[in-house]
Amino acid sequence: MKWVLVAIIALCNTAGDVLNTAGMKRMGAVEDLSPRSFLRICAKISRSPMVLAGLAALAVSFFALLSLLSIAAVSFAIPATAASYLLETLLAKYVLKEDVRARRWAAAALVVTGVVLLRW
Amino acid sequence: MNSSQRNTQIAVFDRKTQLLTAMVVITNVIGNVCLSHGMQEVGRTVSASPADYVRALINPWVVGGTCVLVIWMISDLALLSRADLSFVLPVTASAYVLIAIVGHFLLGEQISWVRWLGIVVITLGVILAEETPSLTAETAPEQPE
Repeated sequence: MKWVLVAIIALCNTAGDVLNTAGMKRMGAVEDLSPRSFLRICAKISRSPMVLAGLAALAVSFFALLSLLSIAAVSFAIPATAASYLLETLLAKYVLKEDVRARRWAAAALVVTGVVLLRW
Repeated sequence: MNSSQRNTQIAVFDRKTQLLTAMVVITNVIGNVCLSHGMQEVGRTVSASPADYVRALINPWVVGGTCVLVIWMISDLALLSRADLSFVLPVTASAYVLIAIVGHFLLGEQISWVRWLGIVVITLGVILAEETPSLTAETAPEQPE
């Protein structure tokens, strides 16, 4: 059960972030950082099936994390975080067509290592 | 458009992205620290009564933290509209570092040497990612309002 939850957390977190990125890129770059512009972003989000699906996936991942933490130690969440960083960087390169080179791979690897140490 | 105009445009674009990144990190830290502090205040009573859970939801720290995290979510989405996911992920990881440090100094949480090592390693990753261009994927032109 613990590993099922770990898989759900990693997969839903990855799906959520990738859907949100794709949906927000389609909407166009947000230029105005005022509070009113943030309300406009909310209105646009409510009309974007991609971002709504992404937020739903993140919510599932969040509740799966809460369930995991209620039956296992915090260190059990580490493999889920590590797997999502790896998966998201892969999907960013091959699905979102981002220019992921050595420097970004190294950055992602350092962050994952650091998060593992932080939660040890 | 000549090249110096274009360079100015790129500089303005990058500055806004940096500003939004800072906002994402700061709201994440403030939201989580408030929520953590509020839940600790509430958490002292473990009870089967639903009234205690309602009380958790009306704790000002919990309410404030949740509101700040809503702003965090919107700014994170705004940031994703103008920067790569593979840039946003490592750069916003600096929130982990700040949450640990704020937790240590404000909430009196212990930081072992292993966790300090983690903080240093994440910071190196953040610095490395900061040096890559923030946007390489294609974006739709901003739609007219």
